[in-house]
Amino acid sequence: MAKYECVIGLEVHIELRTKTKIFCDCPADHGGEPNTRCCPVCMGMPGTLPVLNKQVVDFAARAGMILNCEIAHFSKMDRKNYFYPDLPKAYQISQLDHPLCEHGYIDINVGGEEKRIGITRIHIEEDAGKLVHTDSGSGADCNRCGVPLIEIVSEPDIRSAAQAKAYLERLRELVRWVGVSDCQMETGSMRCDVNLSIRPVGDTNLYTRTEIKNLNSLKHIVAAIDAEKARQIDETEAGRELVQETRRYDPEKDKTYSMRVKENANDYRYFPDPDLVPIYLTDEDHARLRAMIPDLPEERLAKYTGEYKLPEATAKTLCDEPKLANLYQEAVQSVKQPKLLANLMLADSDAAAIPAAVWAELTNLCAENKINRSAPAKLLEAFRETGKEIAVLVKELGLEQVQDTGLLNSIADEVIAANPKAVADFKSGKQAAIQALMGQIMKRTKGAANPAEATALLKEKLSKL
Amino acid sequence: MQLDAKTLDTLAWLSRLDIPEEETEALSGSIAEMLTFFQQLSALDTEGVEPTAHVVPLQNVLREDEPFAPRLDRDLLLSGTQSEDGLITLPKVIG
Repeated sequence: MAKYECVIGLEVHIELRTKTKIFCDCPADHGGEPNTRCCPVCMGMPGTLPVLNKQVVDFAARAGMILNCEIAHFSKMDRKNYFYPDLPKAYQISQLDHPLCEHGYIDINVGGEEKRIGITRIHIEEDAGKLVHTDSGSGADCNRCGVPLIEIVSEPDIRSAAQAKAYLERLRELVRWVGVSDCQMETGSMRCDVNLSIRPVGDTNLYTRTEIKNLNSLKHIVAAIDAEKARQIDETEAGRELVQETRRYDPEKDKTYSMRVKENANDYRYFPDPDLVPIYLTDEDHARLRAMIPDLPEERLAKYTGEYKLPEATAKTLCDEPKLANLYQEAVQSVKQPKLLANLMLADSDAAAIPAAVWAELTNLCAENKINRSAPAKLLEAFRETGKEIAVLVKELGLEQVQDTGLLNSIADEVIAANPKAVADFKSGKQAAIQALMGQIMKRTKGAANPAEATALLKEKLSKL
Repeated sequence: MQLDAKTLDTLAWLSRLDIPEEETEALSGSIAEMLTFFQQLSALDTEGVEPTAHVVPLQNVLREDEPFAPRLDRDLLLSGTQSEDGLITLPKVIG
Protein backbone atom coordinates (compact mmCIF):
# COMPACT_ATOMS: atom_id res chain seq x y z
CA MET A 1 0.00 0.00 0.00
CA ALA A 2 1.31 3.43 -0.94
CA LYS A 3 2.04 5.81 1.88
CA TYR A 4 -0.13 8.90 1.91
CA GLU A 5 0.22 12.29 3.45
CA CYS A 6 -2.44 14.93 4.16
CA VAL A 7 -2.50 18.35 2.62
CA ILE A 8 -4.45 20.60 4.96
CA GLY A 9 -5.45 24.24 4.82
CA LEU A 10 -7.43 25.86 7.62
CA GLU A 11 -9.99 28.64 7.53
CA VAL A 12 -10.42 30.17 10.95
CA HIS A 13 -13.15 32.63 11.85
CA ILE A 14 -12.55 34.78 14.90
CA GLU A 15 -15.02 37.23 16.45
CA LEU A 16 -13.43 40.56 17.25
CA ARG A 17 -13.97 41.91 20.75
CA THR A 18 -15.50 45.25 19.75
CA LYS A 19 -18.27 46.92 21.70
CA THR A 20 -20.49 47.30 18.67
CA LYS A 21 -21.14 45.40 15.46
CA ILE A 22 -19.17 45.89 12.27
CA PHE A 23 -21.65 48.11 10.41
CA CYS A 24 -24.05 49.43 13.07
CA ASP A 25 -24.02 50.47 16.74
CA CYS A 26 -25.81 47.38 18.11
CA PRO A 27 -23.94 45.68 20.97
CA ALA A 28 -21.67 42.92 19.64
CA ASP A 29 -21.43 40.72 22.73
CA HIS A 30 -23.06 37.31 23.07
CA GLY A 31 -26.39 36.68 24.71
CA GLY A 32 -29.59 38.64 25.06
CA GLU A 33 -33.14 37.60 24.27
CA PRO A 34 -33.61 36.72 20.58
CA ASN A 35 -33.71 39.76 18.28
CA THR A 36 -33.01 42.31 21.02
CA ARG A 37 -29.49 43.17 19.84
CA CYS A 38 -30.25 44.01 16.27
CA CYS A 39 -31.55 46.92 14.25
CA PRO A 40 -32.74 47.70 10.73
CA VAL A 41 -29.11 47.88 9.52
CA CYS A 42 -27.93 44.44 10.64
CA MET A 43 -31.33 42.94 9.81
CA GLY A 44 -30.88 44.13 6.25
CA MET A 45 -34.00 46.21 6.01
CA PRO A 46 -34.43 48.30 2.87
CA GLY A 47 -33.17 51.85 2.98
CA THR A 48 -30.56 51.33 5.68
CA LEU A 49 -26.86 52.05 5.25
CA PRO A 50 -23.91 50.29 6.86
CA VAL A 51 -21.04 52.35 8.32
CA LEU A 52 -17.78 50.57 9.06
CA ASN A 53 -16.59 50.39 12.68
CA LYS A 54 -13.09 51.91 12.95
CA GLN A 55 -12.13 49.51 15.72
CA VAL A 56 -12.75 46.53 13.43
CA VAL A 57 -10.11 47.80 11.00
CA ASP A 58 -7.67 48.47 13.86
CA PHE A 59 -8.24 45.08 15.50
CA ALA A 60 -7.95 43.15 12.23
CA ALA A 61 -4.74 44.98 11.35
CA ARG A 62 -3.32 44.22 14.81
CA ALA A 63 -4.11 40.52 14.33
CA GLY A 64 -2.46 40.71 10.91
CA MET A 65 0.66 42.31 12.33
CA ILE A 66 1.21 39.75 15.10
CA LEU A 67 0.71 37.04 12.42
CA ASN A 68 3.47 38.58 10.26
CA CYS A 69 1.14 39.76 7.51
CA GLU A 70 1.54 42.67 5.16
CA ILE A 71 -1.18 45.20 5.91
CA ALA A 72 -2.93 46.71 2.92
CA HIS A 73 -2.78 50.39 2.08
CA PHE A 74 -5.93 49.97 0.03
CA SER A 75 -8.76 47.64 0.98
CA LYS A 76 -12.46 47.39 0.17
CA MET A 77 -15.64 45.56 1.09
CA ASP A 78 -17.51 43.20 -1.25
CA ARG A 79 -20.85 41.48 -1.22
CA LYS A 80 -20.96 37.70 -1.18
CA ASN A 81 -24.42 36.69 -2.31
CA TYR A 82 -26.20 33.62 -1.03
CA PHE A 83 -29.60 32.72 0.25
CA TYR A 84 -29.81 31.33 3.71
CA PRO A 85 -32.37 32.25 6.37
CA ASP A 86 -29.73 33.28 8.93
CA LEU A 87 -28.62 36.05 6.57
CA PRO A 88 -31.53 38.46 6.15
CA LYS A 89 -29.80 40.64 3.54
CA ALA A 90 -29.18 37.57 1.33
CA TYR A 91 -25.58 38.69 1.08
CA GLN A 92 -22.71 38.80 3.49
CA ILE A 93 -20.45 41.86 3.46
CA SER A 94 -16.95 40.43 3.20
CA GLN A 95 -13.76 41.06 1.24
CA LEU A 96 -12.78 39.38 -2.02
CA ASP A 97 -9.79 40.76 -3.90
CA HIS A 98 -8.42 43.38 -1.51
CA PRO A 99 -8.29 41.81 1.95
CA LEU A 100 -6.90 43.88 4.81
CA CYS A 101 -3.94 41.55 5.45
CA GLU A 102 -1.96 39.10 3.28
CA HIS A 103 1.16 36.92 3.18
CA GLY A 104 1.69 36.13 6.85
CA TYR A 105 2.93 33.04 8.65
CA ILE A 106 3.01 31.18 11.94
CA ASP A 107 6.00 29.15 13.09
CA ILE A 108 5.13 25.93 14.87
CA ASN A 109 7.16 23.19 16.49
CA VAL A 110 5.81 19.65 16.46
CA GLY A 111 7.90 16.87 17.95
CA GLY A 112 11.04 19.00 17.76
CA GLU A 113 10.46 19.81 14.09
CA GLU A 114 10.19 23.51 13.25
CA LYS A 115 7.75 24.38 10.52
CA ARG A 116 6.44 27.60 9.01
CA ILE A 117 2.75 27.63 8.05
CA GLY A 118 1.84 30.32 5.55
CA ILE A 119 -1.16 32.59 6.01
CA THR A 120 -2.67 33.49 2.66
CA ARG A 121 -4.92 36.29 3.86
CA ILE A 122 -6.97 37.79 6.64
CA HIS A 123 -10.14 39.62 5.75
CA ILE A 124 -12.91 41.30 7.72
CA GLU A 125 -16.56 40.35 7.37
CA GLU A 126 -19.86 40.19 9.22
CA ASP A 127 -21.23 37.15 11.04
CA ALA A 128 -24.63 35.66 10.20
CA GLY A 129 -27.51 35.18 12.63
CA LYS A 130 -28.57 31.97 14.32
CA LEU A 131 -31.32 29.55 13.47
CA VAL A 132 -33.35 27.91 16.18
CA HIS A 133 -35.05 24.67 15.19
CA THR A 134 -38.23 23.48 16.84
CA ASP A 135 -40.80 20.81 16.02
CA SER A 136 -43.10 23.33 14.40
CA GLY A 137 -40.46 24.95 12.21
CA SER A 138 -37.42 27.16 12.35
CA GLY A 139 -36.89 30.64 13.73
CA ALA A 140 -34.23 33.26 13.08
CA ASP A 141 -32.43 35.24 15.77
CA CYS A 142 -30.50 38.18 14.32
CA ASN A 143 -28.51 39.09 17.45
CA ARG A 144 -25.31 37.72 15.90
CA CYS A 145 -25.93 39.30 12.48
CA GLY A 146 -23.19 41.84 11.89
CA VAL A 147 -20.85 40.75 14.68
CA PRO A 148 -17.36 41.50 13.33
CA LEU A 149 -15.25 38.56 12.21
CA ILE A 150 -11.82 38.06 10.78
CA GLU A 151 -11.31 35.06 8.54
CA ILE A 152 -7.75 33.76 8.58
CA VAL A 153 -6.96 31.50 5.63
CA SER A 154 -3.83 29.37 5.78
CA GLU A 155 -1.78 28.02 2.92
CA PRO A 156 -2.12 24.24 2.37
CA ASP A 157 1.10 23.78 4.36
CA ILE A 158 -0.22 21.58 7.15
CA ARG A 159 0.55 17.86 6.90
CA SER A 160 -0.97 16.28 10.01
CA ALA A 161 -3.55 16.66 12.74
CA ALA A 162 -0.74 17.43 15.19
CA GLN A 163 0.48 20.30 13.00
CA ALA A 164 -3.07 21.61 12.64
CA LYS A 165 -3.42 21.59 16.41
CA ALA A 166 -0.10 23.38 16.92
CA TYR A 167 -1.05 25.98 14.30
CA LEU A 168 -4.43 26.65 15.93
CA GLU A 169 -2.97 26.86 19.43
CA ARG A 170 -0.34 29.36 18.36
CA LEU A 171 -2.89 31.33 16.34
CA ARG A 172 -5.17 31.53 19.36
CA GLU A 173 -2.32 32.54 21.65
CA LEU A 174 -1.18 35.35 19.37
CA VAL A 175 -4.61 36.76 18.55
CA ARG A 176 -5.50 36.76 22.26
CA TRP A 177 -2.13 38.34 22.97
CA VAL A 178 -2.90 41.45 20.91
CA GLY A 179 -6.22 41.73 22.74
CA VAL A 180 -8.57 41.62 19.78
CA SER A 181 -10.54 38.46 20.67
CA ASP A 182 -10.92 35.92 23.45
CA CYS A 183 -10.77 33.11 20.82
CA GLN A 184 -12.94 30.61 22.65
CA MET A 185 -13.97 27.66 20.53
CA GLU A 186 -16.55 26.55 23.10
CA THR A 187 -18.51 29.82 22.81
CA GLY A 188 -17.98 30.09 19.06
CA SER A 189 -15.79 33.18 19.14
CA MET A 190 -13.25 31.03 17.26
CA ARG A 191 -14.39 28.53 14.61
CA CYS A 192 -12.49 26.39 12.16
CA ASP A 193 -13.14 24.76 8.78
CA VAL A 194 -10.67 22.17 7.52
CA ASN A 195 -9.76 21.69 3.84
CA LEU A 196 -8.13 18.31 3.34
CA SER A 197 -6.80 16.17 0.53
CA ILE A 198 -4.35 13.29 0.42
CA ARG A 199 -1.50 12.41 -1.90
CA PRO A 200 1.25 9.80 -2.07
CA VAL A 201 4.27 10.89 -0.05
CA GLY A 202 6.71 12.63 -2.36
CA ASP A 203 4.05 13.83 -4.79
CA THR A 204 3.76 17.62 -4.96
CA ASN A 205 0.43 17.90 -6.79
CA LEU A 206 -2.81 18.90 -5.11
CA TYR A 207 -5.76 16.52 -5.46
CA THR A 208 -9.51 16.68 -4.84
CA ARG A 209 -10.15 18.15 -1.42
CA THR A 210 -13.09 18.11 0.92
CA GLU A 211 -14.06 20.77 3.41
CA ILE A 212 -15.11 19.82 6.93
CA LYS A 213 -17.26 22.54 8.44
CA ASN A 214 -18.49 23.50 11.88
CA LEU A 215 -15.79 22.02 14.07
CA ASN A 216 -16.12 23.46 17.53
CA SER A 217 -13.19 22.11 19.54
CA LEU A 218 -9.53 21.32 19.03
CA LYS A 219 -10.25 17.73 19.98
CA HIS A 220 -12.87 17.42 17.24
CA ILE A 221 -10.60 19.05 14.68
CA VAL A 222 -7.84 16.54 15.39
CA ALA A 223 -10.28 13.61 15.30
CA ALA A 224 -12.02 14.88 12.15
CA ILE A 225 -8.70 15.20 10.30
CA ASP A 226 -7.71 11.65 11.21
CA ALA A 227 -11.15 10.29 10.26
CA GLU A 228 -11.29 12.15 6.94
CA LYS A 229 -7.73 11.15 6.04
CA ALA A 230 -8.60 7.49 6.70
CA ARG A 231 -11.78 7.78 4.62
CA GLN A 232 -9.99 9.36 1.66
CA ILE A 233 -7.30 6.65 1.76
CA ASP A 234 -9.94 3.93 1.88
CA GLU A 235 -11.82 5.43 -1.06
CA THR A 236 -8.66 5.87 -3.11
CA GLU A 237 -7.41 2.36 -2.34
CA ALA A 238 -10.81 0.95 -3.33
CA GLY A 239 -10.50 2.74 -6.65
CA ARG A 240 -13.35 5.15 -6.00
CA GLU A 241 -13.06 8.74 -7.05
CA LEU A 242 -13.25 11.47 -4.40
CA VAL A 243 -15.70 14.34 -4.88
CA GLN A 244 -15.09 17.91 -3.90
CA GLU A 245 -17.74 18.52 -1.27
CA THR A 246 -18.55 19.87 2.17
CA ARG A 247 -18.63 17.31 4.96
CA ARG A 248 -19.47 17.26 8.63
CA TYR A 249 -17.79 15.37 11.42
CA ASP A 250 -19.88 13.20 13.71
CA PRO A 251 -17.93 12.75 16.97
CA GLU A 252 -20.16 9.88 18.15
CA LYS A 253 -19.42 7.72 15.12
CA ASP A 254 -15.96 9.29 14.62
CA LYS A 255 -16.76 9.65 10.91
CA THR A 256 -17.29 12.46 8.45
CA TYR A 257 -20.40 12.50 6.29
CA SER A 258 -21.40 14.45 3.20
CA MET A 259 -23.68 17.46 3.61
CA ARG A 260 -25.02 16.81 0.09
CA VAL A 261 -25.36 20.41 -0.99
CA LYS A 262 -26.24 21.34 -4.57
CA GLU A 263 -23.27 21.17 -6.87
CA ASN A 264 -23.68 24.67 -8.19
CA ALA A 265 -24.22 26.15 -4.73
CA ASN A 266 -20.95 28.06 -4.66
CA ASP A 267 -21.66 30.88 -7.03
CA TYR A 268 -21.42 33.86 -4.73
CA ARG A 269 -21.42 36.54 -7.45
CA TYR A 270 -19.13 38.83 -5.48
CA PHE A 271 -19.16 42.51 -6.33
CA PRO A 272 -17.91 45.67 -4.56
CA ASP A 273 -20.43 46.85 -1.97
CA PRO A 274 -21.78 50.15 -3.29
CA ASP A 275 -22.88 51.16 0.23
CA LEU A 276 -19.33 51.19 1.57
CA VAL A 277 -16.40 53.27 0.38
CA PRO A 278 -12.81 52.01 0.21
CA ILE A 279 -10.45 51.90 3.18
CA TYR A 280 -7.08 53.59 2.80
CA LEU A 281 -4.44 53.08 5.46
CA THR A 282 -1.52 55.49 5.33
CA ASP A 283 2.03 54.81 6.51
CA GLU A 284 1.14 56.82 9.63
CA ASP A 285 -1.84 54.51 10.28
CA HIS A 286 0.47 51.53 9.92
CA ALA A 287 2.98 53.04 12.34
CA ARG A 288 0.26 53.90 14.87
CA LEU A 289 -1.04 50.32 14.79
CA ARG A 290 2.46 48.82 14.78
CA ALA A 291 3.21 50.71 18.00
CA MET A 292 0.33 48.87 19.69
CA ILE A 293 1.81 45.43 18.98
CA PRO A 294 3.40 44.01 22.12
CA ASP A 295 6.53 41.88 22.09
CA LEU A 296 5.80 38.16 21.65
CA PRO A 297 4.64 36.12 24.65
CA GLU A 298 7.92 34.19 24.83
CA GLU A 299 9.94 37.43 24.67
CA ARG A 300 7.81 38.82 27.48
CA LEU A 301 8.33 35.67 29.53
CA ALA A 302 12.10 35.87 29.07
CA LYS A 303 12.08 39.50 30.17
CA TYR A 304 10.03 38.72 33.28
CA THR A 305 12.26 35.88 34.44
CA GLY A 306 15.45 37.65 33.35
CA GLU A 307 15.24 41.39 33.82
CA TYR A 308 12.54 41.37 36.53
CA LYS A 309 13.77 38.17 38.19
CA LEU A 310 10.26 36.75 38.60
CA PRO A 311 10.00 33.05 39.40
CA GLU A 312 9.08 31.11 36.24
CA ALA A 313 5.66 30.08 37.58
CA THR A 314 4.76 33.68 38.44
CA ALA A 315 5.89 34.92 35.02
CA LYS A 316 3.89 32.20 33.27
CA THR A 317 0.73 32.95 35.24
CA LEU A 318 1.01 36.59 34.20
CA CYS A 319 1.70 35.80 30.54
CA ASP A 320 -1.12 33.26 30.26
CA GLU A 321 -3.63 36.07 30.59
CA PRO A 322 -2.92 38.78 28.01
CA LYS A 323 -4.94 41.39 29.90
CA LEU A 324 -2.98 40.76 33.07
CA ALA A 325 0.34 40.70 31.23
CA ASN A 326 -0.37 44.03 29.56
CA LEU A 327 -1.49 45.57 32.84
CA TYR A 328 1.67 44.34 34.55
CA GLN A 329 3.76 45.64 31.66
CA GLU A 330 2.23 49.08 32.10
CA ALA A 331 2.49 49.16 35.90
CA VAL A 332 6.02 47.78 36.07
CA GLN A 333 7.38 50.89 34.32
CA SER A 334 6.82 52.94 37.46
CA VAL A 335 7.88 50.56 40.23
CA LYS A 336 11.25 49.57 41.63
CA GLN A 337 10.18 46.13 42.86
CA PRO A 338 8.75 44.14 39.91
CA LYS A 339 8.45 40.99 41.99
CA LEU A 340 6.43 42.69 44.70
CA LEU A 341 4.12 44.08 42.00
CA ALA A 342 3.63 40.60 40.53
CA ASN A 343 2.87 39.13 43.94
CA LEU A 344 0.35 41.83 44.78
CA MET A 345 -1.39 41.42 41.43
CA LEU A 346 -1.53 37.64 41.56
CA ALA A 347 -2.90 37.74 45.12
CA ASP A 348 -5.98 39.52 43.79
CA SER A 349 -8.69 37.49 42.06
CA ASP A 350 -9.66 40.25 39.64
CA ALA A 351 -6.44 42.16 39.17
CA ALA A 352 -7.27 43.11 35.58
CA ALA A 353 -10.10 45.34 36.78
CA ILE A 354 -7.72 47.64 38.70
CA PRO A 355 -5.84 50.36 36.77
CA ALA A 356 -2.09 50.00 36.31
CA ALA A 357 -1.44 53.26 38.16
CA VAL A 358 -3.15 51.87 41.27
CA TRP A 359 -1.03 48.72 41.18
CA ALA A 360 2.11 50.80 40.83
CA GLU A 361 1.11 53.06 43.72
CA LEU A 362 0.31 50.13 46.03
CA THR A 363 3.61 48.48 45.18
CA ASN A 364 5.57 51.62 45.88
CA LEU A 365 3.78 52.29 49.17
CA CYS A 366 4.60 48.75 50.30
CA ALA A 367 8.16 48.95 49.04
CA GLU A 368 8.77 52.17 50.94
CA ASN A 369 7.17 50.70 54.07
CA LYS A 370 4.53 53.40 54.09
CA ILE A 371 1.84 50.76 54.44
CA ASN A 372 2.24 47.22 55.65
CA ARG A 373 1.76 44.10 53.57
CA SER A 374 -1.79 43.47 54.69
CA ALA A 375 -2.92 46.97 53.71
CA PRO A 376 -3.17 46.44 49.89
CA ALA A 377 -6.08 44.00 50.19
CA LYS A 378 -8.02 46.51 52.35
CA LEU A 379 -7.15 49.36 50.02
CA LEU A 380 -8.21 47.39 46.92
CA GLU A 381 -11.52 46.54 48.51
CA ALA A 382 -12.10 50.20 49.38
CA PHE A 383 -10.95 51.29 45.92
CA ARG A 384 -13.44 48.94 44.27
CA GLU A 385 -16.23 50.33 46.42
CA THR A 386 -15.43 54.02 46.28
CA GLY A 387 -13.03 54.57 43.37
CA LYS A 388 -11.21 57.11 45.55
CA GLU A 389 -7.51 57.78 45.18
CA ILE A 390 -5.25 55.39 47.04
CA ALA A 391 -3.49 58.21 48.94
CA VAL A 392 -6.88 59.39 50.22
CA LEU A 393 -7.93 55.87 51.20
CA VAL A 394 -4.68 55.26 53.10
CA LYS A 395 -5.49 58.28 55.26
CA GLU A 396 -9.21 57.54 55.63
CA LEU A 397 -8.59 53.96 56.70
CA GLY A 398 -5.66 54.91 58.92
CA LEU A 399 -3.35 52.49 57.14
CA GLU A 400 -0.23 54.61 57.25
CA GLN A 401 2.51 52.51 58.71
CA VAL A 402 3.86 53.94 61.95
CA GLN A 403 7.37 55.02 61.12
CA ASP A 404 7.69 57.28 64.09
CA THR A 405 10.22 55.34 66.19
CA GLY A 406 9.45 57.46 69.22
CA LEU A 407 5.77 56.54 69.12
CA LEU A 408 6.52 52.88 68.45
CA ASN A 409 9.00 52.95 71.32
CA SER A 410 6.45 54.15 73.84
CA ILE A 411 3.79 51.73 72.57
CA ALA A 412 6.27 48.86 72.94
CA ASP A 413 7.03 49.94 76.52
CA GLU A 414 3.31 50.06 77.34
CA VAL A 415 2.72 46.63 75.83
CA ILE A 416 5.61 45.11 77.77
CA ALA A 417 4.39 46.64 80.98
CA ALA A 418 0.82 45.46 80.43
CA ASN A 419 1.69 41.84 79.59
CA PRO A 420 3.97 40.44 82.30
CA LYS A 421 2.97 36.85 81.55
CA ALA A 422 3.99 36.98 77.89
CA VAL A 423 7.22 38.71 78.90
CA ALA A 424 7.97 36.01 81.46
CA ASP A 425 7.17 33.28 78.94
CA PHE A 426 9.53 34.84 76.43
CA LYS A 427 12.28 35.19 79.03
CA SER A 428 11.89 31.52 79.92
CA GLY A 429 12.63 30.58 76.34
CA LYS A 430 9.22 30.50 74.68
CA GLN A 431 10.08 32.40 71.47
CA ALA A 432 6.45 32.25 70.32
CA ALA A 433 5.36 34.45 73.21
CA ILE A 434 6.66 37.45 71.31
CA GLN A 435 3.74 37.00 68.90
CA ALA A 436 1.30 37.89 71.67
CA LEU A 437 3.19 41.12 72.28
CA MET A 438 3.34 41.84 68.53
CA GLY A 439 -0.41 41.31 68.39
CA GLN A 440 -0.87 43.95 71.07
CA ILE A 441 1.33 46.41 69.21
CA MET A 442 -0.62 45.84 66.00
CA LYS A 443 -3.88 46.29 67.90
CA ARG A 444 -2.78 49.58 69.42
CA THR A 445 -1.46 50.87 66.08
CA LYS A 446 -4.44 49.49 64.13
CA GLY A 447 -2.07 47.35 62.09
CA ALA A 448 -0.01 50.34 61.07
CA ALA A 449 3.26 49.31 62.68
CA ASN A 450 6.01 47.99 60.47
CA PRO A 451 6.17 44.35 61.64
CA ALA A 452 9.90 43.94 61.06
CA GLU A 453 10.72 47.11 62.93
CA ALA A 454 8.35 46.32 65.80
CA THR A 455 9.74 42.80 66.24
CA ALA A 456 13.30 44.08 66.29
CA LEU A 457 12.35 46.75 68.83
CA LEU A 458 10.57 44.25 71.10
CA LYS A 459 13.48 41.81 71.00
CA GLU A 460 15.88 44.57 71.87
CA LYS A 461 13.77 45.75 74.82
CA LEU A 462 13.13 42.22 76.12
CA SER A 463 16.80 41.32 76.00
CA LYS A 464 17.53 44.27 78.24
CA LEU A 465 14.96 43.27 80.89
CA MET B 1 -26.47 37.36 -27.39
CA GLN B 2 -27.91 33.94 -26.59
CA LEU B 3 -28.79 32.49 -23.20
CA ASP B 4 -28.80 28.70 -22.99
CA ALA B 5 -31.27 26.74 -20.91
CA LYS B 6 -28.64 25.65 -18.39
CA THR B 7 -27.60 29.23 -17.59
CA LEU B 8 -31.23 30.22 -17.11
CA ASP B 9 -31.67 27.25 -14.83
CA THR B 10 -28.67 28.30 -12.73
CA LEU B 11 -29.87 31.89 -12.54
CA ALA B 12 -33.31 30.73 -11.46
CA TRP B 13 -31.84 28.53 -8.76
CA LEU B 14 -29.54 31.28 -7.47
CA SER B 15 -32.55 33.62 -7.26
CA ARG B 16 -34.72 30.90 -5.72
CA LEU B 17 -37.26 31.29 -8.50
CA ASP B 18 -39.45 28.59 -9.99
CA ILE B 19 -39.77 29.43 -13.64
CA PRO B 20 -42.73 27.75 -15.32
CA GLU B 21 -41.80 25.81 -18.46
CA GLU B 22 -43.94 28.01 -20.74
CA GLU B 23 -42.14 31.18 -19.58
CA THR B 24 -38.58 30.04 -20.14
CA GLU B 25 -38.40 31.02 -23.76
CA ALA B 26 -39.71 34.56 -23.26
CA LEU B 27 -37.52 35.04 -20.20
CA SER B 28 -34.40 33.77 -21.98
CA GLY B 29 -35.11 36.25 -24.69
CA SER B 30 -35.46 39.27 -22.41
CA ILE B 31 -32.41 38.39 -20.30
CA ALA B 32 -30.39 37.98 -23.50
CA GLU B 33 -31.61 41.41 -24.55
CA MET B 34 -30.42 42.93 -21.29
CA LEU B 35 -27.03 41.28 -21.66
CA THR B 36 -26.72 42.63 -25.18
CA PHE B 37 -27.51 46.08 -23.86
CA PHE B 38 -24.76 45.88 -21.26
CA GLN B 39 -22.39 44.41 -23.79
CA GLN B 40 -22.06 47.87 -25.30
CA LEU B 41 -19.68 48.55 -22.42
CA SER B 42 -17.24 46.04 -23.88
CA ALA B 43 -16.64 48.45 -26.75
CA LEU B 44 -14.60 50.63 -24.39
CA ASP B 45 -10.89 49.95 -24.16
CA THR B 46 -10.07 49.61 -20.46
CA GLU B 47 -6.53 48.32 -20.98
CA GLY B 48 -4.30 49.76 -18.26
CA VAL B 49 -7.17 51.52 -16.48
CA GLU B 50 -7.22 50.90 -12.74
CA PRO B 51 -10.52 49.30 -11.65
CA THR B 52 -12.76 51.66 -9.72
CA ALA B 53 -13.76 50.47 -6.28
CA HIS B 54 -16.41 53.12 -5.83
CA VAL B 55 -17.86 55.91 -7.92
CA VAL B 56 -18.16 58.37 -5.02
CA PRO B 57 -14.87 60.13 -4.29
CA LEU B 58 -14.90 59.29 -0.58
CA GLN B 59 -12.78 57.02 1.57
CA ASN B 60 -12.52 55.88 5.18
CA VAL B 61 -16.08 56.64 6.19
CA LEU B 62 -15.77 55.10 9.62
CA ARG B 63 -17.59 55.33 12.92
CA GLU B 64 -16.30 55.11 16.50
CA ASP B 65 -16.98 51.87 18.37
CA GLU B 66 -19.62 53.35 20.67
CA PRO B 67 -22.96 51.64 21.33
CA PHE B 68 -26.12 53.64 20.87
CA ALA B 69 -28.14 53.19 24.04
CA PRO B 70 -31.80 53.54 23.06
CA ARG B 71 -32.64 50.34 21.20
CA LEU B 72 -35.58 49.85 18.93
CA ASP B 73 -38.29 47.86 20.61
CA ARG B 74 -38.36 44.27 19.43
CA ASP B 75 -42.09 44.31 18.70
CA LEU B 76 -41.58 47.29 16.46
CA LEU B 77 -38.56 45.70 14.80
CA LEU B 78 -40.45 42.51 14.09
CA SER B 79 -43.74 44.17 13.19
CA GLY B 80 -43.20 43.70 9.48
CA THR B 81 -42.51 40.02 9.73
CA GLN B 82 -44.16 36.93 11.11
CA SER B 83 -42.67 36.02 14.47
CA GLU B 84 -43.12 33.74 17.44
CA ASP B 85 -41.47 34.07 20.87
CA GLY B 86 -39.26 36.83 19.49
CA LEU B 87 -37.94 34.65 16.67
CA ILE B 88 -38.59 35.40 13.01
CA THR B 89 -40.75 32.56 11.71
CA LEU B 90 -39.20 30.55 8.90
CA PRO B 91 -40.16 27.49 6.93
CA LYS B 92 -38.52 24.44 8.48
CA VAL B 93 -34.82 24.55 7.65
CA ILE B 94 -32.62 21.54 8.08
CA GLY B 95 -29.68 22.82 10.09
